[in-house]
Amino acid sequence: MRNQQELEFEELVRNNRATIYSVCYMYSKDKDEVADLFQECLLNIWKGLSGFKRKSDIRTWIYRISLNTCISAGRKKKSRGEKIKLDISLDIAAPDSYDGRQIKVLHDRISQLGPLDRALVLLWLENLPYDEIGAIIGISAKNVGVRLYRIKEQLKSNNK
Amino acid sequence: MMNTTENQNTHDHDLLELKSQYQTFKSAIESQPVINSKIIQRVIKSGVSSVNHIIHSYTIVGLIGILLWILIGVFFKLSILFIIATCIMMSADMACDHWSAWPLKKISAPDTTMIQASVLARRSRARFTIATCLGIMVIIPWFCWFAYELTNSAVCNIDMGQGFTNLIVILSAIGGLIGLSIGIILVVRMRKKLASIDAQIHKFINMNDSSVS
Repeated sequence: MRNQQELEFEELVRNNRATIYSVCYMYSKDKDEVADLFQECLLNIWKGLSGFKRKSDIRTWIYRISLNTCISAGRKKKSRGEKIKLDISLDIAAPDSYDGRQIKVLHDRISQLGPLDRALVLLWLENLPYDEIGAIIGISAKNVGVRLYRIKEQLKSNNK
Repeated sequence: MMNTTENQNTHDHDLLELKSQYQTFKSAIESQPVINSKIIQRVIKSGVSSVNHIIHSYTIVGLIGILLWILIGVFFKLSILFIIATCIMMSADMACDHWSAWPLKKISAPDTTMIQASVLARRSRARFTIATCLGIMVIIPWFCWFAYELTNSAVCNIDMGQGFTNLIVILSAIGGLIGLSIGIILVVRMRKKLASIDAQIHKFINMNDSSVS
């Protein structure tokens, strides 16, 4: 018999796997690293689920956990221990296909940004309102607007 | 002016293209399977490593305790037999903790199945219970012996006087009670941790059973 928390976790992951995965993908350089980060995010969500008070939106909470996990993993990359590889296919699109090329361009453009800017762009790409982005990142909505404007300019100039 | 407008349009097009690339990416990953048994195993592993961490910390504290104990024994001129017996008792306590936590080391092995892991977690829990019961049984006569040693200590009775001896006995009793409370809290926490590891394994096994059926 499965308990409520497990069912909730499974549903949560099923509904938000693309969100979690996209955060991991944007913070990684290769397939193995994406798998490690994805695993780490799921682990933190599983661990934190019992303590989640539902004061904030579940999507905001998942973003916050995923972003914190990916940003802090980047900081302590060297001290990370043994990882168990997940049996998930990470080749989300054939590299030679149109979609594969588009995804690579997207990754290349976003990976030029710093960790916080990457988070902001990701949330902007998800079409989240500025106040929600601010709540996830921990800055004001006004600050989000200013930063996003600069990042967009940077992205445009990088693409010239 | 015309160039500026053209550039602006190109730039906006870039951002729109970025959004469309992101949508392509999101739809590509929607179909990926993500739930994997190894995630749950990883949770169990992290629980096991924290128990091992507690044991290692406890060993370090225990070694410092033995050294301090020898100094106290020498200072109060307690009997050699009592000092040695206490050092052996403290070492045995540490050995018992390692013996209890030993099955947990095998859980982390990649070839350990979930049913084996469940058995190992239960074995470890049973060993902790035996070690705790033995510890409580030993600590009571030891404390009586300690009080006897102190009241007969030349340092306490001749050099410091009876009042000082009583004070030391009372302080030791308080210290002993605090130590015992810390020990009980530690054991209760350890047992809870082990119980949660065991429960997680069982949930996992049941989860797999139900997915198979």
